[in-house]
Amino acid sequence: MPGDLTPGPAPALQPAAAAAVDEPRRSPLLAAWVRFVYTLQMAVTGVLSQPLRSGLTALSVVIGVVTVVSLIGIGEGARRSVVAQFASLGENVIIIETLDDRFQFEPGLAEELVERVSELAYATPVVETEAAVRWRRERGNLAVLGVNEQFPLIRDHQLAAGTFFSDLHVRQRSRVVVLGYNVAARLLGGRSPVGQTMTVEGRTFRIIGVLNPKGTGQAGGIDDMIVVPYTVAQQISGVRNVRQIWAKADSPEQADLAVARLGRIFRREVGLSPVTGGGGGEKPENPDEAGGVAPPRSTGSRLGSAEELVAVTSLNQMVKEADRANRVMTVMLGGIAAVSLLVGGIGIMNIMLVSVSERTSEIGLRKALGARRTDLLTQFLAEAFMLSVAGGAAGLVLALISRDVLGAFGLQAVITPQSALISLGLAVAVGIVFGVYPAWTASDLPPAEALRRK
Amino acid sequence: MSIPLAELSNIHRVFRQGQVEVHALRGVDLRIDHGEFVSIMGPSGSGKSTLLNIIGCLDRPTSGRYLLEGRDVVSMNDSRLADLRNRFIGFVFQMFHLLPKLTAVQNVELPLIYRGWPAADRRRRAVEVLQAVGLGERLHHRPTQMSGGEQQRVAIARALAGRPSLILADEPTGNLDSRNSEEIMNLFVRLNREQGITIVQVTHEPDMAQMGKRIVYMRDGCVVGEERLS
Repeated sequence: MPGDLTPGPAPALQPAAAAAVDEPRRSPLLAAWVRFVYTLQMAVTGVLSQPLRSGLTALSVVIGVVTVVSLIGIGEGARRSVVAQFASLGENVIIIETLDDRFQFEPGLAEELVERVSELAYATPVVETEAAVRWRRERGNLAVLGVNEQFPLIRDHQLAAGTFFSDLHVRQRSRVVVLGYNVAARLLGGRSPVGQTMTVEGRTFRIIGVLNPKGTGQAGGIDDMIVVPYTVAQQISGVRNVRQIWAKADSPEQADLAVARLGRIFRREVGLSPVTGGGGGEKPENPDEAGGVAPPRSTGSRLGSAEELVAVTSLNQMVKEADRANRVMTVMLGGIAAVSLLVGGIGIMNIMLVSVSERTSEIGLRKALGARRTDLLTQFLAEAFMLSVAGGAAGLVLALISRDVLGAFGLQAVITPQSALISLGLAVAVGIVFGVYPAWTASDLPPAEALRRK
Repeated sequence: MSIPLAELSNIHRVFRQGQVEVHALRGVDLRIDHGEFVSIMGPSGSGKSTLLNIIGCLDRPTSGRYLLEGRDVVSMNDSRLADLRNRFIGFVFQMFHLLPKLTAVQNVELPLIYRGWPAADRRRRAVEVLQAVGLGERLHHRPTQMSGGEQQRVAIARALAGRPSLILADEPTGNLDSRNSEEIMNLFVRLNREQGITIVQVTHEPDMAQMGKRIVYMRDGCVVGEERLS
């Protein structure tokens, strides 16, 4: 064909001088938008044109995200199960216990504390012992818990069948027994035991109720215990005084107040004790606390300070502390896992560098034709962004699957929206941070030099 | 014409490769007016391509002054230079430099994309220019499906798409047989004559140089002679 311009629809080529007149004025915003959209298209094409390479790069991010989400999930799972264990002990529960064998409580102290400390709603002395038990032909030793009638209210414990014992049962030392859930299930094999009798330490007890299960390993194994009036437990164990009192306040605020007030009471009681050295620097007591409490019986001759003898512990505080400790643990696990995301980021950088050096001449051409630095930066950053988002999303899906797999092995992992968002955000941040350097390199090449390379 | 299209004074370009300094240009003075057709000739390593790159704002001189239509190019930042190239200059390379994954139309659209034209406008213009260079039948072919001459015409269409004042061609016929070379040169001549587009080409081949209006001879980084053709 002839080498000159075909006549065709010929106004096409006009003198260059006409260019400025000919070209309509376009808004710079529209122009910027056109370039941006095109740049994104180029990024998508860049990612899709090398599926294997892109896939492998995204894989390193996938692994990072799965690790982060799973480890945070395991930490969170542990935290929740610890909190659940404490919660199963009942809300706003305060445990008062002696730390020294020579210093024990009169059982009547529980009732007196409720009267004196207005923030306390309920309290029970706690006697723990063991007893030989027989039911029909079954025999065995069981842990025995002796408490008063307020126990279900303190521990928020419902009954699966029957009733709990009453104030009257406690005062009359009635031989009635409430079974822990597992005891009932094991001994009686599903039939309702309420109304039947069993033998405890050779004496006949009437079964009046069965407690709801609290779950294995929780609430001090209450499911595997039998519960009797503490007056009866004293007879079984042959010990009159008690080492623990469980009390309950109506609200967390009242529980805190009660803990403070109980602390003062015990400091003073110990301070009054003739054998100790005065408890040191007591504040003036409230008048309502001044009423006569039967002083804790002290059998020893040398007692230490109140703090060494009596521990007043709010379960709320313990829950808080356990919660905090576990949160720290979760953050640590997540931090360790984040290292694997870092590795994923280096993978992205590696691939982007290869991709940049492969396309050096293309970069040079685009710059010659008018691509600005920002166009190229945007293109390569968008590629890194897409790889990390795709990897992050796939990682989340895999993390959900691995949560179920872990669950099958008894490891409870909890994936919260926050942990998912955090790890996805980290993945994207990693992609951008590690994408910046190759993108910068690409956009920095002088076009003449870039065009020379092939 | 009062303002020259390009005016270079005392242009030096030094490349550093490790410890070695290579003086590619040693004080070049050159004036190119609107409507000229200049061929730069000289042996390999004489600095022809370096000079063309500097005229095309693909490279910056180490020292010297360069005014493009009266604008001081040396002091411009990279993105102003990119815009300048995009609006004023069309490039034609020896190796064509077409993007292999794009069709002819898509290749020609590239400068219009960076000018921010919407898709429909740039498509219309790309088709128009491809038809004008005689490739109306090849719009959606990829470079690999075309002959060398066809590829170079796509590249010329790409250079023309943005209606430049200046076309810079670095050995545009260096990879073509004599028949295709002649066709490409005829295309340049007509663009120069009929549309007043200024053309500057680097070439080894005296035949091709003879088709322009002026020949600039270079040696060892200096302009050593000039010849005006009638």
